[in-house]
Amino acid sequence: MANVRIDRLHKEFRGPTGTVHALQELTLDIADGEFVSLVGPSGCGKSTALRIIAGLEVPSSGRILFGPRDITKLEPRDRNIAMVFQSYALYPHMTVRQNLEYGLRKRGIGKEERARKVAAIAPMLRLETMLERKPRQLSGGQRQRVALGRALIRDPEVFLLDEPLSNLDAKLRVHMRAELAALHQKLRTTMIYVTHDQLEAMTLSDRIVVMNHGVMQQVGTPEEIYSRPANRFVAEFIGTPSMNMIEGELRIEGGRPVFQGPGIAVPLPQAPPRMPATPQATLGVRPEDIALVPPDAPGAIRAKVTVSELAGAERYHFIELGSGSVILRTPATTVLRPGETVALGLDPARLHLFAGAGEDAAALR
Amino acid sequence: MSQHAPPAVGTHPAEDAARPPIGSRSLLGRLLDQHLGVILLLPSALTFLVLLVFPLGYGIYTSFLQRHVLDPEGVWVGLANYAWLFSNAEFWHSLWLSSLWAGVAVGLQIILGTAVALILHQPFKGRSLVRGLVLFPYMMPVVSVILVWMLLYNALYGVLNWLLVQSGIVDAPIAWLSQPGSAFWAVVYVGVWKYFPFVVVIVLARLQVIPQDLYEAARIDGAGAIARFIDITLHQIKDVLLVIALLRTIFMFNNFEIIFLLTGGGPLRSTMTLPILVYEQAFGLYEMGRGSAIAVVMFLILIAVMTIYFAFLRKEQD
Ligand SMILES: Nc1ncnc2c1ncn2[C@@H]1O[C@H](COP(=O)(O)OP(=O)(O)OP(=O)(O)O)[C@@H](O)[C@H]1O
Ligand SMILES: [Mg+2]
Repeated sequence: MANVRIDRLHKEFRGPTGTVHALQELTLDIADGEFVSLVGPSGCGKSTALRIIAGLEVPSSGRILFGPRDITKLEPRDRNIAMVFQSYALYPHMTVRQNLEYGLRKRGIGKEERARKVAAIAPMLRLETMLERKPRQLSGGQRQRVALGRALIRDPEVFLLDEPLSNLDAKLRVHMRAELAALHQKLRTTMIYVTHDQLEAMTLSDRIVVMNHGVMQQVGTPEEIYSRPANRFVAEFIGTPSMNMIEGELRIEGGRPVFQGPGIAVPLPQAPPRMPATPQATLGVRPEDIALVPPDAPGAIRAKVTVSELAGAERYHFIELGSGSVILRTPATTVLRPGETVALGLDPARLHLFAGAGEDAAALR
Repeated sequence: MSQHAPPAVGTHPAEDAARPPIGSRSLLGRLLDQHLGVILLLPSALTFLVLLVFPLGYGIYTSFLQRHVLDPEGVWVGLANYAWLFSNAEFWHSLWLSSLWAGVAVGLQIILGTAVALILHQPFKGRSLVRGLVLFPYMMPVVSVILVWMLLYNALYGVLNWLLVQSGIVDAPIAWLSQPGSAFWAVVYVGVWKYFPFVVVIVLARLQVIPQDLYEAARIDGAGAIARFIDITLHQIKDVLLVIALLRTIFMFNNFEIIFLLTGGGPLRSTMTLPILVYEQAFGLYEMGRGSAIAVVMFLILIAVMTIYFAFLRKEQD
């Protein structure tokens, strides 16, 4: 068991078409037994980070420590890690049993001991009846469990998982997600989990690391990431439907802070502790933080419904606001007709204000 | 519409009602309908028969004749040619040489070809160029290859001997192709050199589609370079190696020109493989029947090899 310290990790790939900075100055402390997810859009460097921790890729600079041990230069096999690949990477010519045992065999563990370990792990993953089958004779979910088993059987210090559920259908995915959570509960091994499915990250993780373009954007509990996004990128990346963003300016009018957007003005409860140098700002509000209020309520904003979509238990309403459009999320029982004019109330405590308009516009608070 | 005769008495009316009016079509039309596939296949099937089966059948037929160029009709002698063959020490000697030649040359081609493919699979500067150059022996016409190697092997002015003598490895030049001890290995060497690129190309293509993550998983599982080669690479290329072994064995067993041009089967019959024996009988001694009999035996041996091969493959797959 070990805590993992990632210290100013940097990775660049040089190619004929130029240099890609896949990872920039990633610093992260992961506690022993913690479940940490790396999320971010495709190509943001999640796999690169994981592969460097595994030892499959050499960092351009920076260090990795497991406990007090600097493992930056160690071979993968000397790191006491296990990894589950997105493609599972099961050895096609070996049976399930041989696949599970392979890592043990290469570490010189005797036949009886191996059989004992397989017997212990197989029921946990419900693989008892398929130990003598080849990977190609298994379904996707079964293969996935073998891949997990191959990692589990070695009792690693750190578990690395690269989008292990992304090849499964939606139903199996939810199921395996629950199994993974249960497994982590039981084993309490440090797990680093790469996914671009934010729901997976939210439900499984103790902490989430959000990345973009090789740069860590924010690290925090799922709660923190969702309710206090550090910048506009994180705010928009986490949550479905995405957080509504209104670009405008932050002003002080009559001693009170006001956000002035195109066609709307939103008074703010208090000014940010530090006013930004330029007035340009973005106001963010989650679809569920917009409420339908009586038209005469104080501060009500009048707006027109354009489209309503039913998404199972809830409804998404697209509403014209000022010269832009926002999404409002309500229970399915709230029916709004296109063209209807409604009054909206924004919960001042749940507004997000960002300095500037770009992806990296930092939260003002 | 129906100008043809009405249905014969006793036919079930219901059946007739259900039947589409095929009866109205001409005989040719109906024939085309039912046998179009066969008709379309006929030309190619006939060509195949003429080009492939006829010469084969004719060869087998000839092997039952005693036949001389001056007597093209020939005399039916039954199995006499085969009886002669099996009691003839030269035949057994040639059969042994042929098997050795095919076995050793193919084995070395596969080992060398696989090794080179593995090297060319690694990234290094100028890899594409080397990949192209490796094909060179395979693309060169056999005759040019032979001329080059005769020059290299030559005892008086050969490059190989010059190098050996210069570097002090031998005292006097070696007549590579005119000594029974060295001639066989000298021709094997040329056979390997000429055809190993075939193995390189196919194995390299296979190596390139091995999923990289298998190696990564094995590295994490603690497998060193040798274990990874045995447990992953070898298993992945096994299938193509088996196919290559079959194709090359058939090819080398039947190969004539390399040995014939280098040594003509000599010295002292030390390179007299079966194809050259066929040539000697048929065109040297004008014994067409005996030559054909040897060729038929070669054909049967290859069929046996293939049968064993496919039986083995089927067992592997289960
Ligand atoms: N071997 C390589 N050579 C060159 N560039 C690479 C290499 N591996 C990754 N990259 C680049 O590094 C960046 C990060 O890649 P990485 O695989 O870490 O992304 P990711 O976040 O895992 O994306 P995905 O969600 O699509 O798996 C990408 O721009 C990618 O093109
Ligand atoms: Mg990835």
